[in-house]
Amino acid sequence: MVDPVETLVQAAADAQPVILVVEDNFLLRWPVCEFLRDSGYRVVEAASVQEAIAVFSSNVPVDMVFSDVDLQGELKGNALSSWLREHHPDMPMLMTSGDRSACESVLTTPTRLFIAKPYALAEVDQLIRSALARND
Amino acid sequence: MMLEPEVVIRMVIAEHLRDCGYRVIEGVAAQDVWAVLESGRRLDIVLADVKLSGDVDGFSLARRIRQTRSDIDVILTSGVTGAAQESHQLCEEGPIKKPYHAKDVEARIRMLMERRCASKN
Repeated sequence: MVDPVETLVQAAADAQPVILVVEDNFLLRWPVCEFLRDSGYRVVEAASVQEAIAVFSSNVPVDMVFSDVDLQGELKGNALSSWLREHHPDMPMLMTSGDRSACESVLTTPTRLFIAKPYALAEVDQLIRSALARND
Repeated sequence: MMLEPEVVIRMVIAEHLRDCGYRVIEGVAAQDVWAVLESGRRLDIVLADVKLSGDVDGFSLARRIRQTRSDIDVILTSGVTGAAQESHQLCEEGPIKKPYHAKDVEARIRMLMERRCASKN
């Protein structure tokens, strides 16, 4: 019996990193997720901080989070950063925004990285790879 | 393309379909379909829940696609059971056959959602 979530668990075990992408803008989420899948990652997509927390609450294995800072709704990327610090303190997180000052206050540890919007997809891949290599 | 506003259902079903060999674009609202089509990207199948984020529901979306894009198959689903069954059917017809059972996929989604509810309390 094959199970879709087991596939994600297996991907993590096989060193195929699982990336959780949090972005509310479909026109940004779609291309970056597709690019990351084509680059060899397993990608889980979330459109809000609540969805991202729901993914973690489902015990799906996640190796790294790539999140927009300026999300619609009450909870922004900085809130997700705080939640992760509490519940998954070693989780690396790449944050993105048009304005670095929007998340400067949380970019205080080596697990928090930043890339400015608009970003080059290849650069996202590079930052994720180096963060995961550091975490190994 | 799969449209489903509930993250756990979307994640499990989309991953299931990818394992069966499909390229899957995930969306939450009807407008996401039009954004893909306007970009010039080809879509073969739209698998959409009747309930979507935004103002347009699955029924209206299906009607509009059928009227304007007869080359795209539209499959409407309702809830976990519907999504599991329809994705199972697609996998049976898909590029790669995998021994999935709709009931197991459904049970898995329910378990994940319950776990999430439990962790909220």
